[in-house]
Amino acid sequence: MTSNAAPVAVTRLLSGWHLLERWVAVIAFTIIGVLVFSDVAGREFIGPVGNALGFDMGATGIYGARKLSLFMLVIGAFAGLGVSVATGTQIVPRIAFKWVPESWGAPVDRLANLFSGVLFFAVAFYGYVFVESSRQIGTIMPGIDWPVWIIQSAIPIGFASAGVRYFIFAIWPDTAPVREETPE
Amino acid sequence: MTAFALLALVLALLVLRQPLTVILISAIAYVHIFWGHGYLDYIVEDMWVSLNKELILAVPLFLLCGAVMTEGSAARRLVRIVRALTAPTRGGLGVAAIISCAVFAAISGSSIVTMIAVGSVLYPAMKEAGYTNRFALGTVVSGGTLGIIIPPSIPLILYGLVTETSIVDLFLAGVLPGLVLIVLMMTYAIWANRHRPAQKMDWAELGVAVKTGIWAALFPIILLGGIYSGYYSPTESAAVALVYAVLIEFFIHREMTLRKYFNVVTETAKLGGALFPLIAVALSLNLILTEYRVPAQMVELAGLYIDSPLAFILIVNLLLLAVGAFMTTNEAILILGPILMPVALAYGFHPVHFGIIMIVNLEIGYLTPPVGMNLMVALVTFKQKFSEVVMSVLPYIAVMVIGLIIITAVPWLSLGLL
Repeated sequence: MTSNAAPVAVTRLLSGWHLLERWVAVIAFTIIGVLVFSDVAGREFIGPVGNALGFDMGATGIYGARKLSLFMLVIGAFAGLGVSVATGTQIVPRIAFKWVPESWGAPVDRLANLFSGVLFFAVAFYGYVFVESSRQIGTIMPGIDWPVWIIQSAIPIGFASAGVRYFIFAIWPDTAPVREETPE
Repeated sequence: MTAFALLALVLALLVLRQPLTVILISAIAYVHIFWGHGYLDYIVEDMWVSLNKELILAVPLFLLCGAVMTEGSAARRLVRIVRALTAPTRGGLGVAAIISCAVFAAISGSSIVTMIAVGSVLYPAMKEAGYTNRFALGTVVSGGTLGIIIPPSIPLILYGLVTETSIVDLFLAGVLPGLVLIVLMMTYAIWANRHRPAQKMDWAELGVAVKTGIWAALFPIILLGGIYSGYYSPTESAAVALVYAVLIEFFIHREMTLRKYFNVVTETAKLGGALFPLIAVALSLNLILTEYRVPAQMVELAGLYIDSPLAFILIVNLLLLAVGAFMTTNEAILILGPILMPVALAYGFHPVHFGIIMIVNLEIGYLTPPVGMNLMVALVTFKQKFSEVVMSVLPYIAVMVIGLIIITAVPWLSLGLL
């Protein structure tokens, strides 16, 4: 019989991983804001002011800002997936919560976490297949000529991270966060 | 037979309390296996393609912007201005609550955040001033729902994404219906407090309120002005507004620190982590629905049983009101938007008008049990009994249904500014 509480090493690993994902997400979302704003400011303010002052400003937006922002969004979103699983903010429809007896709640939650873990791992595997084929084809990011698989890797990593967490929640239910409602 | 098995799978996953992302991925995988060629790596490829849309960038930027302003003192400052302005009205605090919710909604883009931010200031103020608990509670809980119709609104962006409708048009279309709802709610607030004496206008207080709150009050103008003037796209406007919010909260209001900023962005990442994979999956489901001509089949099917646009819109309104009582807004939009919109189009409805009808229906869903989000959050935030919260919003639900009928019957309200 497994104890509901996880070993210290597991909780430390989880909190370290959680902190890393938070930082990745914070940096990615901040870069999006900075890139898009700099692009607009360059185009609408710095360029016109420079031209008005007689300078040859050339192109004043940030080259490839939108594409880079979208790549940051993918990284932030899939780092955020781990953060949302860790904090219990995944959107879970509650319509059928009362279709099973209340006393079954804990085992159903455990089974639910196991199933979510299996599914997220399966998606992580197919994500790996997708990224690997992209790597072999040699697709590059438009504008900056980097291999696009580097960014695409965020998808299987994010799903695998969510899968690992759900498995840990299934094995040690005390590590599972209280389900929050996502504010809309 | 396989269609029934798909339905059974979805029901089983609902019983198993699975996240919506898991349910949608499972449904897509089922479609690929039983109706497609079984290439499951297409799911991830479709997600990658789906996230590659510039408009999606508006979502994290608006979320972050609203979170920065909410963490600061913008709500308190705005409420002070509106209170000073509405003091001479009977039921002035109730009117102030509705207007404050509308203005703050234009900043935060979120119903729940609006309800908490404005309600935490005005709910105790109304009770202290002698308003009944039921009226005070109902006003802040219902006023909060204005957040999803008043631009910028995340549900409007999601509707635009999944139905490929212009977000600028949707933002413009939300203005007049939002005003209709505000006026109806204010009228009720004044009528409910018609025996309460009005106060004198305090010009000195208004002056101080404007002085301390002018930067927050300018925020909706900067945010929406850029979009409506055609100067920026919604995404660019969100970035400009975010930088404005960061600057005023760090350097003018001095309410923001680096640690608070980190926490604010982390909160946004939590929301984004719940929302973006879901958006990606929902958009990839959209691709599959289109590939298998599901919307076209829905149109044909509806044509067999529903013979007039009026009957169609009545049925859709009833369906969405029911859906709103059981699903949250984002879920409903991501799932039902791409299915219902082509059918509405076939019955002659403009996609923007239909989007606004859908959003107003789901807005009412915030107030209807069992899963009305504002009800749930109000239970905890204002520490009230469930029955009290439900009773408090009943008059406002009636008012909003009147608004829904007007908005549905008068397409000009949604399309007049386009």
